[in-house]
Amino acid sequence: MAYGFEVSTSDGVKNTFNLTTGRLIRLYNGTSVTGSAVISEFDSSKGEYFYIQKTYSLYEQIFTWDNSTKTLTWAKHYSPFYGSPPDSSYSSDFYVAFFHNK
Amino acid sequence: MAYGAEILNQSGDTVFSTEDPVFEIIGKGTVTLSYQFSSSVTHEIWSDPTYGSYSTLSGVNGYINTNSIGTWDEDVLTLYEVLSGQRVYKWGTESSSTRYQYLFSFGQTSVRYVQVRPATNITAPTSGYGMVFYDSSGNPTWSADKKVLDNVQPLSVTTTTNRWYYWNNGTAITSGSTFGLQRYRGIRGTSTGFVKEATNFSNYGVASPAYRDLRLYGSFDRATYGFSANIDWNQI
Repeated sequence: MAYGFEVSTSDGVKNTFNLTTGRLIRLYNGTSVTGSAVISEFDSSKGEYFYIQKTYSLYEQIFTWDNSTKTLTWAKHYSPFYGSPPDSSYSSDFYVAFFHNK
Repeated sequence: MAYGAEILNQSGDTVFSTEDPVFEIIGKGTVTLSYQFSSSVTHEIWSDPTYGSYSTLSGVNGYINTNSIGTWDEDVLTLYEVLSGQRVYKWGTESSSTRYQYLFSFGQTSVRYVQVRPATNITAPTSGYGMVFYDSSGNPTWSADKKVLDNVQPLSVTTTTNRWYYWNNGTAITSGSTFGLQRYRGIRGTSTGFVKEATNFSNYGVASPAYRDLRLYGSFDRATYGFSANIDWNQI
């Protein structure tokens, strides 16, 4: 083998040649309704992030990622006709999981 | 990396590194949608906020409260299988204090699920054979006898092979005069991959949800985050 890892098992030879696992790079705990955070170890070209509800909320914030500054920003929804929901509709204690699959 | 072990695949992508936990498969099961939508009415699926078109709904469909399935913890993620041509949505909350989540499907009478959690501190075998990796804190993060999630892709990548999905419940907002917050987020399986969708159920004046229609806001799917995987059900 040229690379990776290969093991002989009772089911035959297993190797890592074509595996594509997901690896949790960072589990960030957001503690405000709106805000931002720098996640220096995450690269959006290698994976993605997703919200995990930690405490109850009616809605989930909108998240945006700037890969050049490694900054995650979250905000409430907004409509020019109706404005935004109240802060109480959102959680100030949630997780954002960052994972790489490359 | 400064220490520990790292394993690459043939594309040079990292498969495993000592400090980044992979997703360990901890269970699987099947959710049967016991509450069937009424077949005595013709349901309509409206597409996009313009309400410019709709199609009628056919096939078996239903919903169920998933409160009691599998393992519940804030770091446990449940992936659902979405078959080609079918739709699966979820709504509700699954927090550390409250678990109140509904699963809806159009086309599937039951939905298979697989639960995973980050392998931050797995139970390593104390006998037998194989290999175990530990992180810098001394916690076992990889063991030869554990099953981990493979073929993981971000939801931004549409694949034709993956049909298992984890996605956030999410909230999307429409703009203009069609203001609304869509709290049903879902996945539609297609022959060429999948489509992320945000929905609301209409006909709220109707007493029973079984008679409500589905209103799609496919243009506002950008707030749906998660990942997909290709799982061999018989191997886990």
